[in-house]
Amino acid sequence: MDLLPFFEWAETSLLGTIGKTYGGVYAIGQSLHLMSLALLGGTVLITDLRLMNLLLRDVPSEVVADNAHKWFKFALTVVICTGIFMAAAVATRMYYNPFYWAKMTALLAGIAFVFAIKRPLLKRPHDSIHPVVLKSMALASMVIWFSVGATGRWIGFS
Amino acid sequence: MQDSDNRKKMDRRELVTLSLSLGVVITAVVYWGIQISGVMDMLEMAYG
Amino acid sequence: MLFDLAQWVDSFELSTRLHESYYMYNWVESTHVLTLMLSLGMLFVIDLRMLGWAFTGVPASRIAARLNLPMMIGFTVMIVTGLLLFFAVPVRTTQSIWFRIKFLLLIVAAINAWLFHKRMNESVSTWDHDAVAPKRLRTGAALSLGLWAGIVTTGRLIAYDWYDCYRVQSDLIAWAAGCMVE
Repeated sequence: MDLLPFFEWAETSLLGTIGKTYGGVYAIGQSLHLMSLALLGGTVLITDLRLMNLLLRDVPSEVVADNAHKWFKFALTVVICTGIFMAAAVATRMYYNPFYWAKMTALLAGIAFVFAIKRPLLKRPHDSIHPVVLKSMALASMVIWFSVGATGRWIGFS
Repeated sequence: MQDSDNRKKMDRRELVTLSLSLGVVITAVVYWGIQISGVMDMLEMAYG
Repeated sequence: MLFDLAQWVDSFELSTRLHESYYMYNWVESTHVLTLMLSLGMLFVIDLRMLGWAFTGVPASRIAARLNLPMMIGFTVMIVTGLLLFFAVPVRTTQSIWFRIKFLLLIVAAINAWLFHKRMNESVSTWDHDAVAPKRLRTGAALSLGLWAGIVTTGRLIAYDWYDCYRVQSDLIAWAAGCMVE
């Protein structure tokens, strides 16, 4: 399925037009995107470093994971909303940018990993989960979200 | 907490999580390895 | 004086080489931006705890103490990469109104963080297990969030040339940006 017509439409849509026309609004969208990425990264790091027994060792990992997940969902929502706004203004360019597609793949993998794999497993008492599983999952989670950020950053350079 | 030693074998969900996690890490290592070697090759071609 | 300093920094061959190196410059900038996840990520969690919006069941001092090390590692990386970014483009950056505002906000944020820690250490034993920190500390946490929002925004805006000195603009902006070239 060719998605080019959708990207062309997005660029001419109201959202795309606002982003193209008002540089200040676009820049604020970018800043919100960065701040929510920081919060998202922070919640991922504290959860995963806790699961690896490297951070907050004197706080139960269930408490860390549950508290962080609430703010992870908030940050992810803002990241996606501001990301759609940013991409709409330059949609055709995004369509031809390989890093955009790498980022989208990493993002979808990250969302699927969190909601279909990580969270369902972490609903169990954590001491009933094999430590190797917990640590591998934490490493994979950090790798995915780092890749989302890094490919996203590289979109701007290519 | 999660470091208890007296454990039973991994169940299905744990095995699926472990396999997918390793898959994610290996894919990322390969992807970033290709990206980095691509850049290094290009720089080598440009500057020798 | 700042302009002279910028010109002096600009005279280094390494500054030019970093500026002209596509991959090195972008690698430094990407590291600067991605480290936000470590530095600001931890700071946001500490501030949210103080405001009573996260980790309310965990003593506030414990969250602040445990997250302090990764946060400081993050800020150290940001300072080093930030200095390198300035080193690569000193003249334009010195005359950027956004950079100047960002620098002022950074100073205010540092003072706020110092006062916050001082006040927290003085009184934490009386409220450590409370879900919400006392009002003075909540104000500090909210101020920290606001200041960092400003720092990220102005940092992002440095890339835009809307108020660069070569563009026609008001005397006030030219003065605030410290434009030396008429």
